[in-house]
Amino acid sequence: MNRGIRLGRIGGVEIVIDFSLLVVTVAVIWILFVDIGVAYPDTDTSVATLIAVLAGALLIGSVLAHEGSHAIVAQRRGMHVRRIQLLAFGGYTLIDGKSERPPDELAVAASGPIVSLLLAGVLWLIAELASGMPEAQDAIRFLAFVNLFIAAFNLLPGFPMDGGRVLRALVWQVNGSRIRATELAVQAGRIFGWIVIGVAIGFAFVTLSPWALLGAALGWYVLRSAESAGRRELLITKMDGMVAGDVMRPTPDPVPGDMFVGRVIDLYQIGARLRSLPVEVDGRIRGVLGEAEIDRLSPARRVSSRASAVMSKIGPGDVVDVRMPLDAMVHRPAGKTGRLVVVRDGRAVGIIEGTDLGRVMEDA
Amino acid sequence: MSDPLVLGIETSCDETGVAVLEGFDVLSFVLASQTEEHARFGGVVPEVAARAHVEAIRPLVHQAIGAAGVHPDQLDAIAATQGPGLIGALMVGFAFAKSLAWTLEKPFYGIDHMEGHLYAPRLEFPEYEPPAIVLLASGGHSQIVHVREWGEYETLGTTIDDAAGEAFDKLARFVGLGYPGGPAIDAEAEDGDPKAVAFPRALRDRPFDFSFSGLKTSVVTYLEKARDDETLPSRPDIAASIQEAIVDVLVEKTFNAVEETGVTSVGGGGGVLANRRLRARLREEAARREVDLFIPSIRMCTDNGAMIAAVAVDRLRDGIPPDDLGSDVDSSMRLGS
Repeated sequence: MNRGIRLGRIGGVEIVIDFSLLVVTVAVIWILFVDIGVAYPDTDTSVATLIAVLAGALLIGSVLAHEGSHAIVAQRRGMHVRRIQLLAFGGYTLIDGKSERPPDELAVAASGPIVSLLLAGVLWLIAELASGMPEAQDAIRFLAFVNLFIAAFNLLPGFPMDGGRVLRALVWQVNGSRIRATELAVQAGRIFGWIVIGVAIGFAFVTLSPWALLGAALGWYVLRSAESAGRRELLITKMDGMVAGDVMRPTPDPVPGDMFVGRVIDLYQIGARLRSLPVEVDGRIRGVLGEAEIDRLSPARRVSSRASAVMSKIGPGDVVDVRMPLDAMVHRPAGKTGRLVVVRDGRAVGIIEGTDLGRVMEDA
Repeated sequence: MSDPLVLGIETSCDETGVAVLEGFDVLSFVLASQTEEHARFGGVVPEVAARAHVEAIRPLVHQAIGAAGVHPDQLDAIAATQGPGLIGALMVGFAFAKSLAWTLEKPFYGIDHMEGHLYAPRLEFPEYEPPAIVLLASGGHSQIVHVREWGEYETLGTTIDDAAGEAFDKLARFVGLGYPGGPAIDAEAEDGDPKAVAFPRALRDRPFDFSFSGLKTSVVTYLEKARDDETLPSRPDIAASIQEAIVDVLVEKTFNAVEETGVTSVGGGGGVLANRRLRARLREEAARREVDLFIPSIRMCTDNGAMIAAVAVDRLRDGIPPDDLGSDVDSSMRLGS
């Protein structure tokens, strides 16, 4: 997800504002400006504008403070933070790899909501003290509420919300299994997503307020996030310590490019065990030949075509070392052929297909 | 408890095997081989196999029970191969056994074919006990299994392309020998020189896995070149050299696993274990390393009903509950899962 504006880098961390936050910010500025005009008609337009724009900036600042605290705690604990993406009322902090110990996970996850809660308290105090300036007081109270909301929403105890990560860290600490803890937290995410949707729809019926449906949308977001983030997280967790060589299908010596396809079929048992074979041309692996390529050929062409003419060509991006960690491969874009050739000391020793990664999920 | 009386039925590939066991005593052992039906196709044809099983199964079961001198009511359980194998073939024996179990109101056990092969040596060697390394090689599978306990297996290595038996069949065809290729090459190689041609031994960097595509490629390339150059050795020499390449790899990888696990027992099963050169080389190597070798007779190495019944005998003795009559065959069953 890269929709947004890049703010720049702070301490090596890229900060991006998502369009959703920009839209919300503009809306907030507009609503505050209009509200001030209605509630305090005597206020000067420039003062009202200043208050509204400052409040808008503070809104972005609040989200940044929340995500920034995740990032700072993560960096302090030796993790590498790549990017912070600021979304409406939340965001995410992209951390390379994963936390290795429950206390790290707990500290990183809890820091954001704690900072948001603190901000809410401080803003509330300031609002109380700013009784001399009621226009600003309302805006500050609003920001205090926003921070309270960010904290509360993110503390929903379902993965991938912060609360879900806290839950995972605690369960992980108790039973020692990161996988079990993740599964439980993802399940909690699904349940809370449905609860939020249910409560929001209930509210919509009782209050007849269309705003309640916004809550349902948030619940839907939690539900979807639990599914997608959960799947990815489980995959990464299960891949812990595994390398390309662990999931590849081993292949025999590469097929010479000038061999006729009919002969390949006769000599190599392409089927249940061997799905695809690496093809070598001029001493280098140039392509893969499998059922997909062979099925396209008529029987006559199988006899007359050479492997090099039929193979799906592969580029350097489709080749991985046998020692490459699997969690690093998850971020790799899938090549055109959907297959990766695995090499050891420059020699092709296996092929990984998309389904092989799925197998890891099932087996783990 | 006296020794359980079990009827075992095996129909995973091209042999219909039925046997009655009392404990590990084989009371009867009958077999109908379909080799001739498949010979003209040069390999096992699944539909032909299923049909032949259908024709053979009823008379064979009759024969096995009669030869054992027991009444069907005396049986303590009925067992059949659940997988892996050809799905149509498996279904014949499995459905027959379930029907029989239902009619006679006897417990039914669905057995993993590979576990059957692991049990086969027990029927001939009472002293055979885990831990052991077992080489299973046939037309359908080639693997090295670490038997930790009865019921606790780890597949250490497997073939990445053909089963050893398939390689024998195909290579026999390349050199103009008939089907099935294993016995044909075995016979032809008798007077040949195994060192006549040095074919490659593949997959040296995967200590327990097999691959035969490289061998097939090099045999074909060699034959073409030798025919062109008119330097072709005699067919017995070629057969002996091919056999040596396959046997070498099977023996080497088996004993790699012995070394890795430190076990002192080696077993074997599957049709390829009928190969005389393989049996001789395994014997030599076992003697050299001072480990005990448990390769049963050829009829017990190839597919049979006794090995299936043997697993069920153990299940009964261990008080493991029988399988549901609603269970189905699993053509891609994996040992230990």
